[in-house]
Amino acid sequence: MSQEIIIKDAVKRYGDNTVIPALSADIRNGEFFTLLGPSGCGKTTLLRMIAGFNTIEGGTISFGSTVINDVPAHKRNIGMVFQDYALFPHLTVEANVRYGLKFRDVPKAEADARVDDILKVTRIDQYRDRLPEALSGGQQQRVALARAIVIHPTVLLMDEPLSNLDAKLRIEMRTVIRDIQRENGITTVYVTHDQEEALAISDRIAVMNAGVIQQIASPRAIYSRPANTFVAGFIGHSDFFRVRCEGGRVRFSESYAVAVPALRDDANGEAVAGVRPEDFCIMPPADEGPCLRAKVLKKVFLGRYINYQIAMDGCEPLESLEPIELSQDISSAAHEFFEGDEIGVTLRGDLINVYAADTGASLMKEVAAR
Amino acid sequence: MKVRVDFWKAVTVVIFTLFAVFLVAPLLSLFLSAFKDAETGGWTVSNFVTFFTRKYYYRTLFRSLAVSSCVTLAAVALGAPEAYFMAMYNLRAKRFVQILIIISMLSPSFIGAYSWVLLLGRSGVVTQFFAALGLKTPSIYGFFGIVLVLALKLYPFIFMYVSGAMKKLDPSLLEASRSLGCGPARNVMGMVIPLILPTVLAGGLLVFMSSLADFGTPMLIGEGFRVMPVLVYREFMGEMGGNANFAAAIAVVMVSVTTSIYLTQRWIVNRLSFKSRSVRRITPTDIGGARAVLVHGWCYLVAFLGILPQATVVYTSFLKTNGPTFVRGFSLDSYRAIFSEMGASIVNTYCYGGLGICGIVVLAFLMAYLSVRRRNALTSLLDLCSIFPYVISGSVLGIMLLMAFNKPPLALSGTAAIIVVSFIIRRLPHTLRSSVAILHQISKSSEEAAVSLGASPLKSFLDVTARLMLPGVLTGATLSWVAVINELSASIILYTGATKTMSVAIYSEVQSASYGTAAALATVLTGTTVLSLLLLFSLSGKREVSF
Repeated sequence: MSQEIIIKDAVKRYGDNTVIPALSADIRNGEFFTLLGPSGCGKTTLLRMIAGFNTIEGGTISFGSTVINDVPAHKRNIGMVFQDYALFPHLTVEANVRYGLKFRDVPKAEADARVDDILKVTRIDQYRDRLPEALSGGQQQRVALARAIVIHPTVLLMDEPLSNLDAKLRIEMRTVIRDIQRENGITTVYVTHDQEEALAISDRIAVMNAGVIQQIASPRAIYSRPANTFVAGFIGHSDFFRVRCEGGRVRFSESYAVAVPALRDDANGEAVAGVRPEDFCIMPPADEGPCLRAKVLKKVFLGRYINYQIAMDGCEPLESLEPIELSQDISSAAHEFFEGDEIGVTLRGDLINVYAADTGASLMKEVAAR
Repeated sequence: MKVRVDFWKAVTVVIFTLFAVFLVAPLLSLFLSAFKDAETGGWTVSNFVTFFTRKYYYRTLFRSLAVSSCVTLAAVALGAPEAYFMAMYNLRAKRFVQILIIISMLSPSFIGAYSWVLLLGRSGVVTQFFAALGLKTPSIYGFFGIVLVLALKLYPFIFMYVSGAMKKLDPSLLEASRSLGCGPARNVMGMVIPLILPTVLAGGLLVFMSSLADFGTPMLIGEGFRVMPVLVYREFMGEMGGNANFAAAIAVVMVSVTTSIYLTQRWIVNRLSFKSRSVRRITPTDIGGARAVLVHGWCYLVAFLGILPQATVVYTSFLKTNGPTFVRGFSLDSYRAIFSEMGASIVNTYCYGGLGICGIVVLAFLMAYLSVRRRNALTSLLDLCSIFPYVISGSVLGIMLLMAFNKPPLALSGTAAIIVVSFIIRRLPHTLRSSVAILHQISKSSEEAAVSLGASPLKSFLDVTARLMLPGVLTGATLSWVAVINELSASIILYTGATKTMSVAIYSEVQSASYGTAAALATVLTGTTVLSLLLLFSLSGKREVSF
C-alpha cells in the first residue's frame, strides 16, 4: 500500500556539521514529488534518510502514521532506484527483479505472475535471461525500475536515475517512469539537479538550497511565481533589476514604469524585479511609446530562440557585471537585431516578479514558500 | 525499543579481540621480556647493551642490511628490465616466460638455496664440471650465495609490480613526449622511469623485507655468515638451552628496523605517487636484428636462472640415491620414501594450510568490508594491526607466539593450533590486500539495493558484496595458500615431532643430506603450487596474477 510521507523537523548532522537543519515537508499519497537543487544542497542526503541509509539526528519521518526513524532500511518496504542502477551483476535480469520478492511472503505462482507482468510493463521481457552487463543503459534503467516496483513498495525513491543516460534516452525514460508511476499510483520521491527533468515529470517540486527547502509548489507555480530570488535564478534564468515599488507600479528607470497587478498592496520602496529572458518585448528604438533603451552586445543563435546580451540605459541591474540576457522567439521575431544595434525594450506587468530587496522573498500576492 | 546487536559491530569486536590476543599481546610480552634479565627476572637493558657492544652480535645487523640492500638492487636490475621488455616488445614464447617467472616467485627460497648447493656447492654439478676443466667457481656459501639465491628468488616480485605499472602507463604520455621532440632513450629516462618509480620502490620494499626476514637460505648456505633471523633462531633454540630474553631483544631490534624502513618507504611512496588515468594500454611492438637477440637473450636468461632451482629439484627427485649422493639412473624411490616415512608431514601441511586459509579468507572478507565500508576509529586501528605482519618476520613471530602461549590459560605451544595461528597472521595480508582492492571497485549501491529490497545487512553482504568480492579474495587466497604451504621460518620454531610440516621436513632432510627425499618433498610442494595456480586460472578465467 502506497503511503504519504510526513517529514517533520528532520535534522541531519555529521559531527558538528549540520547538513539539514529542521526540514519539514508533507508528501501526498500517490504524488510524484521531486527534490531539486544544486549539488551539495542535501537532496540526496534527505532521500537517503527516507530510505534508511542515513541516520536521522532529529525530528521524525513517517510513512502514513508510522514513524520510521528507528526502522532499519530493509524493513521499510521502499523501492529504490539508484543513480548507477545498482543491478546485481551476477544475477540475470529476471533474478534481479525477483530478488526482493524472496523477502516477502509471496506465493510462488503470484511471484511468477508479478515478475512476468512487470517485465512486460517495462518492456524488458525479451532480456530476462541476460546478465546486466549485456544490456544498454536504458534497458538497465528499466530493470532497476522493475526491480523496485515489483515488491509493491510503500514509497518509491529515485536518486538521479537518469543522469547516466544520453539526452534522448533521458527524455524517453522520464516518460516511462512517469507512466509507470501513474499506473501504480505510488508515492514517489525523485531527486534530480536537472530542472527541465523536474518540471517535466513532477506533480510538485521542492527546491532545496543548503539543506533548506526554498519552495514547494507545482512546476508551473515554481516557474512563473518563484518564492524568492534563489528559486527564480535556479529554475530557468532571471534578469534581476533594482526597482522602486510605487503603489502597484514598478519603476525601472526615471522614464519607465509598469503596473504589476499581482504585487502585494503593502509593497513599497526599494525592491528587486525578476524578468525571464523570454518575457522582454524587443523592438526597434524608433517605435512609439515608453520603453527602456538598450544596446545589443552579443547575439547567439540557438535554433528556436535568438539570445541577446544587452546593456541597458537608465535602469540598474542587480549584478552590474553580469550582462542582461534577453531571448527572442524566432517564430514571432518581426525584426532580427545585430551586435551594436540600438533597441527598445518593454515589459509585461503580469509576467514580472518582485522580491524584497533585503531578503529576496517574493512580494507577489498568493505566493508562499509552501 | 529492543536492543539490536549490529552484526558488523559484533564482528569488529570479535576481530579486534583476536588481534589483541594473538598479535598485540604476544608482541607486547616480547617487548617486555626483551627488557628482563634472564637469570634474575628484573628489569634491565643489558640485553640490548650486549647486542650493540659485541661485534659478534651487532655485525649480524649490518650483514642483514647489506644482504638485503644488495638483494634489492640485484632484484630490481633483473626484474625491471624484464618487465619493461615484456611490456614494450613482442617476444617469442612470452606467455611461457611469464609462467616460469610466476612459478619461480612462488617457490620457497630455501629450496632455491639447496638447489644451488647441488649446482654450485662443494660437490655441485657445475662446480665439478668447471673443476674438471681446472677452473674455480665462486663459492655458493656465505654472502655471495645468499645474495644470488635471494635475488633470483625475489626478482619476480619486481617483475610483477613493474609489469602492473607498465599496464597502467598511458602510451599517450610517451607519444606526447615524443611529439615534443624527446628521443626514445630519453623517453625511458625522463618518462618511464619516473612514472614507474613508486611501483619499483613498493616492490623494492617487499624484496628488502622478504630478504631481511628470510631464514631458510642463510641457514642452509650462510655457514659462518650469520644474519639476524639465523641469530634469533640460534639464540632462542640454542644448544645450551637458549636465552629467550636475549633472543627477544634481538627480535625487538629487528622489528624496530623493519618498522622504520616500512614507514619511511610508505612516506616516500606517498610523496612520489600520483594518479594517472589511462584508457589505452601500451601495445607491444616487433623488434628485429641485434636488439631482438639481446632482448630475447636477457629475458630468457633471467627466467631460466630463476626457474633453474625448481627444475633441478624436480629432476633430482627422480634420481636414484645412495645415502646423500645421487647415482646413475632414475627411480621413484625418493617418493616411496617420503610417502612411507614422511606421510604425516604431507598430511599436516595440507590440513594446517587448509585450516589457515579458511581463517584467512573469512578474516579477509570481514576485515576488508570493515575497513572499506565501515570506517571508524576501531576499524582504523584494525588497519594498523594488519600492517604488523609486514614488519614481523617469521622467526620473530615464531618466538613471539611460543613465548606467549607456552603456559595457561592458552597453552598452545606444541599444538597444531599455534602453527595455524602463525599461518594466518603471516599470510593474511596477501588476501586482505586483494580483497580491499576489489571491494573498492564494487559500487556500494548494489548492497544498498539489496537492503532496499528487504534483505538484512548480513544477507545483503552474503548475497551481493561477498559474492562480488569472490574473484579478488580467491586470487589473494591462492597466493596466501602457496605462501602458507611453503612457510618455514615460523614453523621451524613452532613445530614438534607430531606437527612437522613439509617445509620443515625438507629443511631437516637437507640438513641430514638426504637430498633425494628433500627433492621429492619439494617437488610435491611445487606441484601443489602449480596446480593451485592452474585452478585459480580456470576458476577466474584470467591468465594473470597481479598484486
